[in-house]
Amino acid sequence: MSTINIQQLKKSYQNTQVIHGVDIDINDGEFVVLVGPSGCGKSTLLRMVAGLESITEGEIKIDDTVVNDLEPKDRGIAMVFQNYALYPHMSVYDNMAYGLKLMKLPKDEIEKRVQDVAKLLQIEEYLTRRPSNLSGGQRQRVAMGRAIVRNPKVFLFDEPLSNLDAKLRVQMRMQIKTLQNKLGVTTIYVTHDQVEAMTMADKLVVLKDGIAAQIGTPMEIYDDPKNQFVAGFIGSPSMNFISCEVTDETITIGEQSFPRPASVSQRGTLTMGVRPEHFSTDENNPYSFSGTVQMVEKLGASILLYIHCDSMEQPLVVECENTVAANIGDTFKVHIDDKKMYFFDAKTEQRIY
Amino acid sequence: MHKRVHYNTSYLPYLLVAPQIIITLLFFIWPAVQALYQSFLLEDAFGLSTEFVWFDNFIDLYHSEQYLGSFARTAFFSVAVAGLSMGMALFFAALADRVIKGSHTYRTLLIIPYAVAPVLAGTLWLFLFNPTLGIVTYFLDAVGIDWNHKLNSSQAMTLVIIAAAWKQVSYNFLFFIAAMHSIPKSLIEASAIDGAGPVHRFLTIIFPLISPTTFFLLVVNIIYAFFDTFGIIHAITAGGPGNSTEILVYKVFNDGFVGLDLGGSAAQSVVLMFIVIVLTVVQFKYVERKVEY
Amino acid sequence: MIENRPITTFVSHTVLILGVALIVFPIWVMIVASTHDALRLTQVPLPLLPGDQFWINLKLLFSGKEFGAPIHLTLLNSLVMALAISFGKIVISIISAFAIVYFKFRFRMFFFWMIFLTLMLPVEVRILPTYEVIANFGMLDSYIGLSVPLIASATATFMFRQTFLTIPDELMEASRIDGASPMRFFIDVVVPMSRTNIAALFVILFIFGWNQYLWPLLVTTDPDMYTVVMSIKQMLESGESEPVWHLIMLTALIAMLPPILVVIFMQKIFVKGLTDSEK
Repeated sequence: MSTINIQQLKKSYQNTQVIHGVDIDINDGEFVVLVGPSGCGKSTLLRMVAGLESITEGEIKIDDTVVNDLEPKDRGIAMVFQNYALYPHMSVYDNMAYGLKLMKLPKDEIEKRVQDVAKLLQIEEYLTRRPSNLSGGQRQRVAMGRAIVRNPKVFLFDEPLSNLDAKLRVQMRMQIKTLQNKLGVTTIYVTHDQVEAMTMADKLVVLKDGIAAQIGTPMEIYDDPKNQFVAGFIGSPSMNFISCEVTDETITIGEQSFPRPASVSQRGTLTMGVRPEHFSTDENNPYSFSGTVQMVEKLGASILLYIHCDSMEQPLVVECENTVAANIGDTFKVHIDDKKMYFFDAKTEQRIY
Repeated sequence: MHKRVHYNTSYLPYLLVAPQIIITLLFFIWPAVQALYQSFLLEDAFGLSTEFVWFDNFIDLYHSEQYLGSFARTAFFSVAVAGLSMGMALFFAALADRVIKGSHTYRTLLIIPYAVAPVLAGTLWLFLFNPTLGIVTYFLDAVGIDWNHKLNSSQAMTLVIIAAAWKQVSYNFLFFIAAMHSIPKSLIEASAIDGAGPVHRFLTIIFPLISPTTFFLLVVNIIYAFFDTFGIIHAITAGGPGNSTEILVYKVFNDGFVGLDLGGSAAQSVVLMFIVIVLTVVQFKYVERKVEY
Repeated sequence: MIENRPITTFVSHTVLILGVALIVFPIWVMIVASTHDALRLTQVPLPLLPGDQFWINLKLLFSGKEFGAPIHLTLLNSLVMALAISFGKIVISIISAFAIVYFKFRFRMFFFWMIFLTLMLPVEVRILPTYEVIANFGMLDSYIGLSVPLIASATATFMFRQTFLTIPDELMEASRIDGASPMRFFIDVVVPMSRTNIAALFVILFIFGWNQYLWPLLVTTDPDMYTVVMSIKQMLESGESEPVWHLIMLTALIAMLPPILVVIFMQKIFVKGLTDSEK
């Protein structure tokens, strides 16, 4: 039963400010993912919640208690680190029991808690082993076990899956989410992987340069990005951005034009954004232009086309059904659904439509 | 150099460094400052009065035939010890690196001299080369060499060099072997495929690749010869015959404790300190470079 | 080995055996000499094969009749000094390295450089003034005077610092979240993780301590405080005519046995520690 309120949080090292006033409200039992490119301040933010970094300005509350000056151990948190940070010279059991011993819990209580969690995570058989004798996935589970056994009010995860191979990562992703659902513990999870962020989050916080660029559910952020950064960061492959000229009648991209959809009321130079999956082959769609196929990537279920249009710096990425026949050098015509066009101010990069 | 994260506690770190710092201050810094101070003083023969004489003691050293002689002797001694010891160690290491069977036994036997105290090493060699009794002397006599290091200064120098080099072979051997083991096997194999024989391989691949270690050992050996051979000389020749084996460290001791020339001895200490500082800086420059590899 | 050349291998072994024999020869002669009586050791050529007087010589040494202090006393002094130096060095180095690596505090770098400076001041260059300090403290002829001045060690501090820097930062953070104080973290995590280094350092420092010569020579005047290593020199000088070689060699053998055994039995850890400490 825990809520977290972060208000106007700021962090500076000497003269450089890395977090510029972030506000996040986290409800009880919510799974919040902090996502952003490296250097955006997501780990720093998490470590400030943990109490491993001091707070320059602002406030962090856990359950209405300001924790700014509390030691990590007094905040009711548990943390899973990227490299797991298991004590290499202790057995799995001792790793999990260490914090409980320091809490001065009675021995049988420790024993019971560790056993219960070990059962939950299916690591009972490894309890006597050293971390060095475990696989990456097993270590990951021990690290989680060490967090769970403390019975924390809040779980903190710092890129816990980035040291695992791709297949295991998908598995663990599911396990963590399921476990969190079951335990109902409020969780903050940091990752740079937007797929991980989308699949796991109840609430997503996209960070950029120490500012929360957007906060919302994964679908809100996907459907309704507030600015060009968020639009480009969330979604894979990334959204295409095309500079275009909007007049009363038409939208012009380089030499080619198509009619202006009624919804676009502003005129001038704008940046149009289209997700690769939002192109269509519908011949009746008037919003279209053409280019040369530069490369074809066959993904199996679908095909990615890289289309070069003379006026664009970057080739356009178009995802289409695997039945589409296209070869390098072909001229290809793309159609855009007018409801799936995004427009951004060319200067402020804020979304207009 | 530093950790990203630190504890912030007010007094604990001071408490933790205190023992080391107190001992350093009392037994290292303070005596060093004393030596520096005394090196500027002249004490009369009865120790009744002292006079501040600035650099006179150093100037005396500079003009002292004996001191300059000792300096030259020390230089020769340390180069000879380093050369002999490193040469033998490198030779053994090159051979031991080639053999698989028994290399552990060879290593075990070769590291024994490392554990022998310098003064004991001196005693052993003194016994072997004893002018009247020594076994080696006996064999030397058989081939027509009359050995008496108590009278012959070049023989005395030879003997202390042998004893000092013997003790240091272990250390050099271990470092050479470690350096050779760290050469990627693929490199050796590649040159073998290119048709290089073992000797050629050693000269063109192995030796150049271990040259950082060789340089490092050179500095370490010189430091060793300068400062850690006191016991060897004390046991074998006590600086004699004449002053023919009196190296700098020995002279500091002799002039200070036996001759009771405090100012002169202190000035010599200061010169030695300066030498150690230069050598240590060179050594650390090397370590820095090695880190970049 | 890359290619199979039986002849080269054979030659290598032969040369190695000869070389090792050359290195071990003085040790062998010492052992042989310790097994003969005084008379045999005055007859040229000296023996190259062991005799039968070993136990008799040993008894003589332990009786202490021949020289000032019986050998078990000097052995004990050596042991106390070597252990005090090695433990002392390890303890003060590990705690100061812990402070320097894991804490941010004023004068941290100043302290660091001060410790670094000790590297440049070996006993040999500051003997006289150090001797005066010990004399002023009334520490002559005491275990404290024998060991404490040799305890400060830049090398050990650096080695621990190097080790600590390889311990992931996250372990310290994890322990903070687990509720461990700095000293708990030190005892529960840092020390156990430095076990190998501690063991390797112990070997090196034990030998360093045991083999001290110049310093004990200066600060001890009471034969009861002599160390076994320095007692050799006394024996060399004490005989009116020729030194009593059979007993000197036996004493040398006994004096070098502990460090040799330590090196041989902890060889692996010692070799690793020695070659790593310079990196």
